[in-house]
Order: sequence, then structure tokens, then C-alpha cells
Amino acid sequence: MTTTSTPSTKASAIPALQISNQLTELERVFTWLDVHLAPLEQHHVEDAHTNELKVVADEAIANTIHYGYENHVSGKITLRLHIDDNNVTLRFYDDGKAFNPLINEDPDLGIATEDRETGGLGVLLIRELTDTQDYQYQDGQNILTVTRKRLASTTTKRETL
Amino acid sequence: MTLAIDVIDKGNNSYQVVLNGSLDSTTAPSLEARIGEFTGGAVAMVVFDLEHLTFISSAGLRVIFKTLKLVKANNGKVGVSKMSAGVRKVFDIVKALPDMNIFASEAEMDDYLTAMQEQANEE
Repeated sequence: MTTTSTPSTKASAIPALQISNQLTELERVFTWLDVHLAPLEQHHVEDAHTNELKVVADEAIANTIHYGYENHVSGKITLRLHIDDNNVTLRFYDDGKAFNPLINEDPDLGIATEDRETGGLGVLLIRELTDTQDYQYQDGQNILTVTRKRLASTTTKRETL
Repeated sequence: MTLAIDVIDKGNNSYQVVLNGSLDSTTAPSLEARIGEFTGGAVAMVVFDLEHLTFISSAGLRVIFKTLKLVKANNGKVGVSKMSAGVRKVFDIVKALPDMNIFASEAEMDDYLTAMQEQANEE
């Protein structure tokens, strides 16, 4: 545990998490995020990071499972988390069919909630709860990368001005 | 993750749905099934009590929106009460709150239901 004693100043190597393409695996994902994002919350007021990145993970993984694997074929999804002084980066790799979730348009929020199409909410939440989003298809894998600016880094800058 | 669901019949076709835990892609189907059990008949109001809801994602939102569509189609109303800041942020992003009644407390919800009942009795 000594390697995690200075998570706010050093980029730490966090073990990747591999899950099968089952929604029940979300519990492991949430636990993994709790464990590795907790040090941020102890050192700084970044409570929103963990919960909001859990929302992002739920949306990204549910999307992949629903659209990436036809006929319930089994597959693997790998998550990597990288934390440095400025950003939290979460990356999802899956071996499902090529599918870019970011090309979908956001749902029309200008009409009454009960009259809306139900699709597209997940990607909207991913966009709103992260600062950057990127999709690539490489070597037979979908790779979705999202980043969030760390609140602590902006707070520290403000304090030192 | 777990989600405990408690449905309370408040009388006059109004129901309080108390959620405790995480409303995510794994637990949303259980809420949908539970709501289906009592929305088959006349429903004047459904209030989701979110005081002990720690997490919501779009799978959970879709169940609440489906309830909204079903209940409003029969001239009923849907409300949410006692949201945490994190849960409220998700509702705010999807701009759903203007279409629902929002209650800050149990007392506020009960007062509203009582007023609804009195209005129904007068009609």
C-alpha cells in the first residue's frame, strides 16, 4: 500500500480490470472505482468523481453489452484507470463489433419528458459528466476514452493565484 | 449492487415508492417489474422517495420516465422527493424535473397528497 501514499502528485499504475460482457459485472467495476478513486477523496474534495465516473462506467458498459454483442456471444471488456495531477482518465476496451457510441445525437430535451425517445440518455450522461470523450477502433477492439479534470488541481491553482 | 423497493399505498390511488440503494443497469429491471404491479389500474400519483438512493444511471431514469408516460397518459402525476445532490445532478442533466412534482420532505409530499384528496372529494 505504500505506493498509493502520494496519489495526488504521482501518476500511479493501477491494475486494469477485466470483466465478462454481463451486466452483473458492474458490481466489480464499481468496487474497482471505489478502491482506486478513494485516495483522491481522502486528500481532496473530489467526492463527485467516484459517483459520476460510476455513472459513466454503467452507461459505457451497458451500451457495449447491448449493442456490441449479438446473440449473447461471450466477450471481454477491460477497463484501465489513470490518474495524474490534472486528469482522471478512464478507458474501456471491448472485443464486440465495431460500435462508436459517440456518433449518436443527444436526445431532444426540449420536449416533455414523457414524449421523448428513451434512447441516447446514456451517451448524454457520458458527455456531460466528463471533459473529453474519444472513440477508436484498433486491432479488433473498441476503445472509448473519457477524461475528467481533477477538481483538486483547479482548486490548488486558484489558491496559489 | 442492491436496490430495496418499498411500495406504500397512500390511499386515493396514490403510491409512494421508497428506493434504497443503487438504481443502475442491474437493478432497474426489478423496479420496472414492481411498478408494473400497481400501475395497471387507475393511478393518481406516484412519488419516488429518493432519500436513500445512492446512485442513478440512465437505466433507472428510463424506468421513472416510463412511469411518467404511463401515469400522465391517465391524467396522473409523478413526483420525486428528497434527492441527494448527486442524484439531482443526473436529473438536471436530462432536464426531467420540470415535468415532475418535487418534494423536499415527507411532510411536503403528505400535504400535497392530502390536498389532492380533498380536491377529489369536492369534485
